[in-house]
Amino acid sequence: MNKSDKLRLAEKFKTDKRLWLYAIAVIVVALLIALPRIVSPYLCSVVFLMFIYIAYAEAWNIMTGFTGYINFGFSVFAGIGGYASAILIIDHGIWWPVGWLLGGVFASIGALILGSFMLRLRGSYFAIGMLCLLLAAPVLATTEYLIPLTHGGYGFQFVQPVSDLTMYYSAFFISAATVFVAYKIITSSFGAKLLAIREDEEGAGSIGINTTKEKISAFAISGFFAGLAASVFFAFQNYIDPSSAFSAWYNSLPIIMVLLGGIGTLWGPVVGAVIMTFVEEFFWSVLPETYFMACGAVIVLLVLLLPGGIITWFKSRGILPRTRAI
Amino acid sequence: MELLIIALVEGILLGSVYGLGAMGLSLIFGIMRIINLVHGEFLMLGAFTCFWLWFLLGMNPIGATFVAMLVIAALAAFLYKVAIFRVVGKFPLLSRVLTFGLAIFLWNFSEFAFGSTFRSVNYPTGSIGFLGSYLSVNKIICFVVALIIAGVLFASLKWTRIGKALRAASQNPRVALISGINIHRIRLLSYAMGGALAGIAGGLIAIQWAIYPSIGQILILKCFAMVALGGLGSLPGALLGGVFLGIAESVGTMYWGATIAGVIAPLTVIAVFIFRPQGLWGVVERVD
Repeated sequence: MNKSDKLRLAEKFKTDKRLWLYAIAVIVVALLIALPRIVSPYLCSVVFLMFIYIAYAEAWNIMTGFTGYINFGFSVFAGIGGYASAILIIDHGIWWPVGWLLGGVFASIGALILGSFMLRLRGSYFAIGMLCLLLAAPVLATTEYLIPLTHGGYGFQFVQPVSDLTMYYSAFFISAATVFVAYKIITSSFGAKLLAIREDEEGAGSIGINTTKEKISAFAISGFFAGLAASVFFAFQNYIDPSSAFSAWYNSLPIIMVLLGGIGTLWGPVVGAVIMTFVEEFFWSVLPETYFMACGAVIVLLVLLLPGGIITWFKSRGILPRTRAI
Repeated sequence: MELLIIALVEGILLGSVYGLGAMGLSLIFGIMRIINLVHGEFLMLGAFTCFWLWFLLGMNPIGATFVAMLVIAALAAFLYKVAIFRVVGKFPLLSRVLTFGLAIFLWNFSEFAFGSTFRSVNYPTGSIGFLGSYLSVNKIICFVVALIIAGVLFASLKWTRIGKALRAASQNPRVALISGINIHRIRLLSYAMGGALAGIAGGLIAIQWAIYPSIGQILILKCFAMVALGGLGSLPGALLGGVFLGIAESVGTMYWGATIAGVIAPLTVIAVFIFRPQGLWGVVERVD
């Protein structure tokens, strides 16, 4: 067997593998689309949450995994998106898909504005600054100056505008869109620039990358999907108030998921979100009091034992190819 | 005018207690270059240790505060030995997420073990008249304790061998290592000392205010504000930052109400980071 034969064989093997992957992907997508007609509404709501979590985790990953800037203020953008859509849909009677989309747009604008000065901070300063924003946000939302807009501590009660089925498909679409955009980013030159910033920001700047601009773009994209997913999430929850919108819990959930799956990888957040959704559901039904405690312990153990996450571990073992597209 | 003076005095009394906690955070940051996100939980656990010692054993709250110092120092040393030392000097994301996870664990552990009700130490010492108003003697005792602790800390850092080694490790860890300082022991010591300071500050907080498990989240925010004001890694800066924040909060509460006062700390941090990252008094220092 000469060299060209070998190459052709390898090529054939690769396309075979690809075909298998495409087949599996099509089956999974078809299954997810058909799911509401097959299983109980309860399981459907779990899968709905899974979609939201995938979007959350991937949005967090676009910022933190790709640029290395630890965003401890994820809930700020989710909260802005949720509030914007609630205000627009409930108080101004805007058609719900437009309201949700505008929720994402407002979160993205918020990320642009906050990012334009927060992203001039580095390392520890950025991490502390974002944590401070997160803790200030619910207080700001309840101050008397913003009560006409946010209704203060009462928050909003949604009169459900859409059926659960529509929400399910919307969440499915949003999570797919988030992963698709993340894929487009990581395989493009924009993604390469972000990774360069993560590895060595000075070096990236010295070869002519406008690091601040790239970081702010990543921040705005991350904010858009956070806000969009949060709009649907809060519509599903039926209410939004300052403590739920800017909750510390939904702030740390994406962090756990991304760490579990593999930070800075494309599919890591998806894997982490799928696992965590079912772990969460299991814990809620078995040991609700110790759930948060267990999650803290899981974060600690992950950092100590599996710092790269599942996908990175597979990559280092050679089970998965080491490409940026996985 | 009198109101302003009262607010200033209240602020100084408040700030000295806050400052102790912030000094611990700053000490840990200065020596290990990690942000100790567990610090708020150390303060909260210190407060609860003081409360339970007083509540169950009937100890004097001030004495209980010193026991809380030892307990939290031991807890910090344990956490360092088990987990923290593995991430010191590594990729900064790891230490941030690790301490974040520990904070979530300890917070929800106390939520689970103690319940989320408000508790407070009943330590009646009366009050004294001051400019037509009243000042609780509790706060003055806490202020004195805080000053003594800060004084002992500064003196030991200045004149003892271990204090010199700590300062050397903070200024230049490599050279400290070359000149024969056991840097791992110094790191362990600094983490335990940070915990001790948090424990005592937590105890003093329990004497003055109501405590609850999620108070750690609020306290760590204040610690960040103080450390930011004083410059990351500077100890006297943290204490002064504490006094500054205490004054800003009590004056802010007096003039604009309690909701606005809650935003002062976080917005101070962000403003200081952007406009004066070296802190109000601090020296210029590069951080990762």
